[in-house]
Amino acid sequence: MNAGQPFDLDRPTRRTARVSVILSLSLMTIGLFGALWHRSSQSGLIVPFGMTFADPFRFFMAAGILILALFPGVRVAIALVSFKRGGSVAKAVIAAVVLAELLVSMLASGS
Amino acid sequence: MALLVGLFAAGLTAGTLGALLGLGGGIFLVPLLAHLFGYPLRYAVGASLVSVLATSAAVAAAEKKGRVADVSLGLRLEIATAAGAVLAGWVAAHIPVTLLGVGFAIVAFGTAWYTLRAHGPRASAEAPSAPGDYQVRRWKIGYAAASLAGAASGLFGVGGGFLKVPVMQSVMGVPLPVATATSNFMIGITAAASVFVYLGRGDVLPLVAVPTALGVLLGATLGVRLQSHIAPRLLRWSLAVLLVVLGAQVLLQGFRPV
Repeated sequence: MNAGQPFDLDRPTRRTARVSVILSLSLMTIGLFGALWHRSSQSGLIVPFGMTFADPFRFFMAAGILILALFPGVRVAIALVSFKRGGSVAKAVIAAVVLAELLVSMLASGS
Repeated sequence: MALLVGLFAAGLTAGTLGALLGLGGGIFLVPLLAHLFGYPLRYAVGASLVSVLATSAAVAAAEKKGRVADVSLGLRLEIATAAGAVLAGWVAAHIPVTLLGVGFAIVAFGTAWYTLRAHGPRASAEAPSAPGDYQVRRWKIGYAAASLAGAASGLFGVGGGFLKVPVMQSVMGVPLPVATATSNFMIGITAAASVFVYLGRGDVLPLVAVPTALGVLLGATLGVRLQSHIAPRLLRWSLAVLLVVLGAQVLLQGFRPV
């Protein structure tokens, strides 16, 4: 794996990114408008068919955020699988370092 | 509803600028959400992290041939970024934050100057990029800058893209489109790690993060489309101006570690 060659991960990465973006966008939009609808139903404004909506819409929003959060990890996995050059040891070292980086970031954010 | 539209607009602006300049957009969003909208810093950072992820994914989805991230370069620099973040923990305990802020500003001004320098690898940076048409050089400076970006990320809660992009472009000889895409790839990894912690602590408010992220998703897609229509010279100047503003802000107001 050589730096200086933006390795053509285009197709799998782009496809995954598009699916992630579309899924996340849909879930977050449903969640957001659902939550607004729920809020207006509580204030007695617009309540079609007398329906009320509760926290499940938060779940939609959280799911959308989660999909976005998982995408970088999927992207690294695609990269490591797709690299044709470089031994498995190099890949394992990079994967381990990236994992360590994730841990450090998590610890730093949590402190 | 006006608040949601405002958040969406803030996200749209941050996403467009972030995608154009290879930044996560957090550098614009955190002050906007905290100062203009009045949200506590932890909620502002939580929403900003989600937006950084949105930028990263949207840019990856819109990448075109020749404008792809150099994943190998990104992963190697990410190692230095991790080391910088670890070092920042030690440094924070031993060096006054004011001194760090001054150093940070000096680096920002220096990077702005180098970005605008008349000679150097400008030609290669502006040339259309295709895989294998450039040679990454000055790795040591690149690693140092990535460490500094990691330290900045750990200390000040910024992504560090504002350092990585100019250094990759001006010092390491990476074409600007590849540098911005690589930076977006890297900041996505860093933000993904942090966002889980913020989600767990309840610091990601859906009604703040979601409209902002929706704006960012749209803005980032727009930014990638615009990138091919905007002269690299203008992008370079925008980045330099941003660096100077950021450096001045640090000097005038001070940077508080998060």
